[in-house]
Amino acid sequence: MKWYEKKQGSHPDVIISSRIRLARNLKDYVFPNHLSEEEAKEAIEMIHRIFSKEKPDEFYYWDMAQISSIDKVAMMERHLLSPLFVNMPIPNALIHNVDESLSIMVNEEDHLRIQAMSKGANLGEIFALASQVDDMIEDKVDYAYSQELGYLTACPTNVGTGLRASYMIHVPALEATGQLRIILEAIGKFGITFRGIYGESSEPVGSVFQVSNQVTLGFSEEEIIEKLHSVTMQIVNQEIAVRDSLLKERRLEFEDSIYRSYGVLSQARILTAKEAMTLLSDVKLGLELGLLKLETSGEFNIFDLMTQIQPANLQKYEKKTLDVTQRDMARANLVRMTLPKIQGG
Amino acid sequence: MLCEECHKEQATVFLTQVMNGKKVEIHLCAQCAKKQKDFFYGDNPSIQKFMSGLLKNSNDVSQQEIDQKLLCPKCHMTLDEFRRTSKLGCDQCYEAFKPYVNHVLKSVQGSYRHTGKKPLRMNQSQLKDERIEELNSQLNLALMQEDYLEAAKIRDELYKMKEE
Repeated sequence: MKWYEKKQGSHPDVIISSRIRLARNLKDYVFPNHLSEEEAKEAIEMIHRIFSKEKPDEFYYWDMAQISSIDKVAMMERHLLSPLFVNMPIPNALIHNVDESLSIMVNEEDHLRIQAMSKGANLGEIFALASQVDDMIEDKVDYAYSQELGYLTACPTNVGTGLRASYMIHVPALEATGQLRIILEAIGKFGITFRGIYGESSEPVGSVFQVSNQVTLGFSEEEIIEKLHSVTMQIVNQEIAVRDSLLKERRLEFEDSIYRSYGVLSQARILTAKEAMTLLSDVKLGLELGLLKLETSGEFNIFDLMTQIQPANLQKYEKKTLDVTQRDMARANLVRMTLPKIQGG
Repeated sequence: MLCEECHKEQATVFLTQVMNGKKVEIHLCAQCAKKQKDFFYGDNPSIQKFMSGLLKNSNDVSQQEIDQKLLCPKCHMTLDEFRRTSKLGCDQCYEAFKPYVNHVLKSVQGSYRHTGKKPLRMNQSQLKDERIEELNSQLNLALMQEDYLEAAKIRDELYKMKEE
């Protein structure tokens, strides 16, 4: 079972998942953007050796050159890899544990990107996990570190703690009422950024956003996490308040739009990823508010389906390469088959 | 405007020189101008030296030209490359391009001081460095107060730490 298939965490309705990333570099090598092929392989070997010695049964090792590009993109859609890592010009490798909740990208923008993920709001706990992996590696290699600036990274925007903490949140009510825009302007002042579901330059889809810290220097890891958490909780509370008022004041229109979305998802023969994401977002909201009840055995999770319908994961599921039209058809099929029936409907 | 030589008197003499195709203005007080008279009006070759000395202290175009050619000793990255990509090539770049990195840090981070996690292993040697620094300042203090007994004690401890 993967980390995202588990049911856990607090505020699971709005906060879908938590993610921690630590950027680290090896003292004896130049950063990946200046690394030769030979040095890149050495760095990989150095890290690989640590894991095969210290945690031989807990972690898998992948030489990225041996992985097909569709598998790489599928891993990226599951947030196991970054978009940059898919197309690195130098040798790179991925090390991850069984349920993919802990992963280490070797030779990304920095030599090491240690990542921990979990469902719901769990930043403190997963930071501790990532930090343990960090300690284990640091015990065997020298990191690029300065007393003054902390962990040195290729981009000065990561220097210091090298920490990027993020929550993935689902805020359809704030988005629909236009409140999100106002909140975005306000949170910029707290050194917090907002992005689409697939990072830096991705367009927001299905009302799913990543909220993360921008500042990495001058605050401790605990302070950064604490601040991100309190800002996110403000957003979560506002989302819940708007949901409540929509339910009170415009229940019928609200219900109608959710059933329409369910109707399209359960009948459509062609679905683009973007359309499917928007409709699934509506259904997710309807389920959470109790407006829509489905015949589920408890196994059905909308967010998993949101991941499965992404282009590469869809092709992996179908076990063949599909062009755009074929994908839209396959997506509609998958959604029709997966989406449970309405209770009593 | 103050004299660029002594930085004390008002500049009353404005000299304009054209060097390497660039116009350079120098502002001096009467006193300093008189002193430099031979440099300016004589045939003395050290005028070049005088000029470049002045330029080093200013944010003149020439200084920027020198900076453009800055190179990181470890990864050989240039300042120009850093400016284009906003990425550094290795840990030494932080030192090599310090003023430029600090400029970026000020705008994106708002701070220059790491206060978070430290590598466990590095902590030991850093703690030792900090202790040595502390002992050194105690030693200076003891010497200033002519407390030679205390100074000798501190000195012995320093020897011991450095030997370890």
